Amino acid sequence: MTKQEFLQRLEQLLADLPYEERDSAMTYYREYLEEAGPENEQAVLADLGSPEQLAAQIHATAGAPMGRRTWSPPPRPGSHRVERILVVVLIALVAAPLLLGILGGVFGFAVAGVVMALVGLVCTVLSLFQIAAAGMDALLLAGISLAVLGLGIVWSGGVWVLLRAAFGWLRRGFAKMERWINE
Amino acid sequence: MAFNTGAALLDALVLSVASNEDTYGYKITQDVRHVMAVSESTLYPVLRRLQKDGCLETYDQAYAGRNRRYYHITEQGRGQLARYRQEWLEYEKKVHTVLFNEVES
Repeated sequence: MTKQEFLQRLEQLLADLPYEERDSAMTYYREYLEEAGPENEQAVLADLGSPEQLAAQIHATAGAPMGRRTWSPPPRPGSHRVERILVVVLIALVAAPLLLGILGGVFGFAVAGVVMALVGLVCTVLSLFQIAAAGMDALLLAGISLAVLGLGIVWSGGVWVLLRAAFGWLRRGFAKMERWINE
Repeated sequence: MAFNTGAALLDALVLSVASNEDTYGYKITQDVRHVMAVSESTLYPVLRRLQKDGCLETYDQAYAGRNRRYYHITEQGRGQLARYRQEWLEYEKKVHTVLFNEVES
């Protein structure tokens, strides 16, 4: 009997065991025979006995006498895809109004920052042109306008930083979701 | 070894080997074989039982393009090993007194 034939037969005989027990035993003996190497293969197989004998010992270890049906199917990756996609769609539908609201708010914030900066810039320029005519008053207005310009820049910058962070967070979230769907 | 190796003694030997360094099925079998004749399948039940009892935990690590499942002794396992060692010392002493006729009768 070759190593492959032995392992295949052994796996068949362990089919009635819970997945964990079967996987534990198969991994152990598969790796064991790999480590032994082709030169020791026949000696090890001879010492292990027949697949039936080894399977009986593995059943005893698992506390499950041979032939008793305690079968649980191994979780195959991707076997829950459809249900999980449905869950994601449902959550998206429910969360949509809230998300749209948040999006609107973020948009408003962004616009506010840009408008502030623009207004500040325009007023600064205009008031500087009025210095000849209005003197100190124009200077005061210029100063205030500059402050508004500065605030607008910082505000917009802050929104920009937050948006980039949110994007990165969203991208990671999507990747995790994809992995979960295909688990 | 001429004496029968009970299950508890095998548990103790496996835990002791694992306490030195993380090991895998084939290697620990060869290590134990230096001391006593065990078959290629003797240690799987021992390792599996110790794992289920929480004395060992496993992790997989790639080696030369294939996978190796390593066994690592837990804190609980170390405690159990200490108890086994203590019991062995007492047992050894008692056997010695009888075997070498040192009993006061």
